[in-house]
Amino acid sequence: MSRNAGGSRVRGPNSALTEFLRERGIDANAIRHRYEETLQQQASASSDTVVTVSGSSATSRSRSREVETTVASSSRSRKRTKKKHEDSDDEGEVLARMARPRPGQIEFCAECQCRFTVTAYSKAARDGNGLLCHSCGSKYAQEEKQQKKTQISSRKRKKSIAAALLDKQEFAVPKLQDMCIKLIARYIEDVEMLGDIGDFNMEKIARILSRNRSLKDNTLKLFLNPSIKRLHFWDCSNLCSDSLELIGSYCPLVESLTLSMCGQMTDKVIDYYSTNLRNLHSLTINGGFLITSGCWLRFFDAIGSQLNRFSLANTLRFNRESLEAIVRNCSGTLEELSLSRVGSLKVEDISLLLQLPRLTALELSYMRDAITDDIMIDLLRTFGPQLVTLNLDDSGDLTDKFLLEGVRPHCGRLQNLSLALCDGFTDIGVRDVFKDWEVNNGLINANFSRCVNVGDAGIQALIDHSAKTLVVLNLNSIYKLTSATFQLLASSDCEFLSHLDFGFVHCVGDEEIEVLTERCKSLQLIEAYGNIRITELAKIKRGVKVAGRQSDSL
Amino acid sequence: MADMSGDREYVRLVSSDGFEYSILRSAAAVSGTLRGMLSQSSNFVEAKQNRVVLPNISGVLLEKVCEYLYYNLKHQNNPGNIPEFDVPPEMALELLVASDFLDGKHC
Repeated sequence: MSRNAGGSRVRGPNSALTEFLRERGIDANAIRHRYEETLQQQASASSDTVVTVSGSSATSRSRSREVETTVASSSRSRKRTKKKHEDSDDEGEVLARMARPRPGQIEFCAECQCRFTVTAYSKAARDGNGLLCHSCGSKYAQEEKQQKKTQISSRKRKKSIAAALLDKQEFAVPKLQDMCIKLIARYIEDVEMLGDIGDFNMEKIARILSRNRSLKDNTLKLFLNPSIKRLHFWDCSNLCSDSLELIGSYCPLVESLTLSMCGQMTDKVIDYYSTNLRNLHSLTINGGFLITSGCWLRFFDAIGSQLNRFSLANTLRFNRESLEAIVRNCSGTLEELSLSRVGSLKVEDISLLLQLPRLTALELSYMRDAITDDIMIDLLRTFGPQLVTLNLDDSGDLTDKFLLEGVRPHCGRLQNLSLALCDGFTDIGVRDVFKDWEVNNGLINANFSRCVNVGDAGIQALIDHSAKTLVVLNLNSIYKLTSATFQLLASSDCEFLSHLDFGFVHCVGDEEIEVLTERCKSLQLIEAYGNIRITELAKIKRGVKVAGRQSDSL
Repeated sequence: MADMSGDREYVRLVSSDGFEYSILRSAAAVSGTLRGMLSQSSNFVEAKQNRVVLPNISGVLLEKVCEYLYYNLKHQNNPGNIPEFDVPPEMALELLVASDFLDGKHC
């Protein structure tokens, strides 16, 4: 069926389908209307017409018969289009009937009955019975625009709700306090003194400033106060070395110091802290990659003996010597040690940690090369019984041996266990750790995300063991799980479970999530990224946030 | 001021400089502090008189607070596309202190 598409050949970009349909004059409204009319005709007992909708047997004979019948309901325009049917497909009565007049032809407007020339843009009449002239068609243009607008705005609204969910924010009217803090943060450069607004709000403001990256050298002083004991700055990327030193001089009484993204920190700063911060007992440095190992040595030699908690992340300049310095100076006091992404440490170096008998919290994450079964078993044999927190994320060389000979026999006090990205564990291994693990009273935080070889047996054993104590459970990407596990979770009376992540676990669907939100009374946040079987129809109990559903943004 | 018990629709907030603002009880309830003070089940004088004196908040500030209470009340059910609540920067710090005092989940 070749068509000479009359009129200008210059068109804007359209999909191939749109072009195809338009060329053939196929219009959805018209099709629908014709189908409905056919059904009506069938219903209304009209003796001589044999109107068949089943298109396959459409023959020219039946078509011409229809043209001849004088059934009252057949309208003028349909007759007219019958005559033009030589251009339509043979694929059915309905389609045949709605062959549109070609652009260039003269038609009568379905509404005002005026004569007009059909173009490719002539709109179909509301009831699908013909075409509208330009002026009648443009009447509806306004309406269509409005429709489009509401569609777009509802899509936007969906997106903003989804975005709010992703940020784990309450989608509610903003609090006055929050608005004020935002405003202050925005005008921070102009405000001289923040005055007395309470520690809690100070921290909130510090957080917001870090989020807008407006914590700079000139705004830093607003937060420094001689009496401050805890100082947390999450984004120090705009703070130069001198500003960081300022912290040491303005806040000499600080006891707990957290500085993240402090890439500009140099040895000078750490040296200054070690002399000036006499009360420091907890230090977290994330991203201080310029600090040399020699500097760490000096630091630990100077104030290591008062350090209770030390956390270091993202540096390559922390090596065996630095660790030796810790061991030398902090063995009597250090209770929490966290080393994450410290690439320069090796397996032999980790064994130094055996000399830290007071450790209750240990993190050695993202240091694959340095963690092996044997060394970890040795460590756990030494201070396993007192360990409350253990984080060995991304230690892929660990196997079931570590679980069965290290964790199970020794970690009676363990409450927080994070073994994400450890693909060396098998289902049976995990099951055997938790099954009848009487020494241990139950985990509070359990993270097995991306342990892809774990399945139902392991996680069900975990649930049986820790259901009464679990608060945070992360099962992201454990795709082998089946819904049996989640039914067990729902029926296990997890009264404290408040944060659950089962992203990319394909078996979870609407039913499972509904039951879970019903039965787990403390649930506040569910992370469901990549769970394609959860739709917007899932009935979530009020107060539970579900982040990551595909339907949120589509 | 006659002692009136029983729920009245409007309550009064009095600022430090003597300005009185009459607002809906439901608007006042947006603030946890005010809600507690005006709660009929308590024995507070404020609840009996339906009048709360706030000696630490000035008139101008209190007016802004009332504006916010109504803004919150009005848009509670549709947090989607709500107009921005305008706060002049000079007021920001004091408003923060006031809102911290008035506390509440929403305030």
